[in-house]
Amino acid sequence: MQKTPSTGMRSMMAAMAPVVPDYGKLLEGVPRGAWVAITHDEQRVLAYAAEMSEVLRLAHERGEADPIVFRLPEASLTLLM
Amino acid sequence: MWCSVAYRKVPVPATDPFPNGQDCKRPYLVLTLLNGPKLISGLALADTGADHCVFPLSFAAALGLDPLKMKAQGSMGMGSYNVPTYYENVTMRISFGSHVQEYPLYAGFTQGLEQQGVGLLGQFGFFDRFNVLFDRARGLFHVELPDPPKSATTT
Repeated sequence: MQKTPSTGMRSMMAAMAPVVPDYGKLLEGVPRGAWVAITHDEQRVLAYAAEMSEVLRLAHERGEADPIVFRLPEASLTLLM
Repeated sequence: MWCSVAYRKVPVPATDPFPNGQDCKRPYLVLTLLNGPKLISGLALADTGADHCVFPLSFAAALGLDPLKMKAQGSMGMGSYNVPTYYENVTMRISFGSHVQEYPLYAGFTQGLEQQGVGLLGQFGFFDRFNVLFDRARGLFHVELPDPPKSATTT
């Protein structure tokens, strides 16, 4: 097993890491409570709908066989799990 | 090999105790669950407080799984107690750029995660398999990919 990365290595990994995806900007205009399908580069919303099956159907229609699917929570809730 | 993943920035609108709203950074991984030819990709939270890896019940439907034919156990969390959770053997695919690995996963599916709409990656199946280092100050967490198992694919 490899060692835990050192501080120096972590800095290097941070410099190489992808930019923090900002879901606030990405999901502008998507109604709360909707299921959303986005592209795997997390740059574009493909579809949204009330049901997951519908959002998958719409994404497939738009040429994406395997979108990333999740739900935008209904209310202004923080996540405590 | 250690892979770095950026926390996802999720805005939460203003509320009484947080009148300016909040930019919550959450350690989400993008992963794909597979059941034969069926698959579903989604977000899952690296959640050290979760015992198992569980997902919204809609994910089970997308994978062609029937909860009535699955083994069930109650789960509990904030504000919920004994929520039925249905378990089945599936495959978990994790991708870090060009590194793609697949692992067998005994995954739970529950109505209790339908509102959140994301999965939870817990102790059995995730943290017992991967070393994870949280570096919240830099907005990153790091996952150590072990050598792929014989059944896994690496590209």
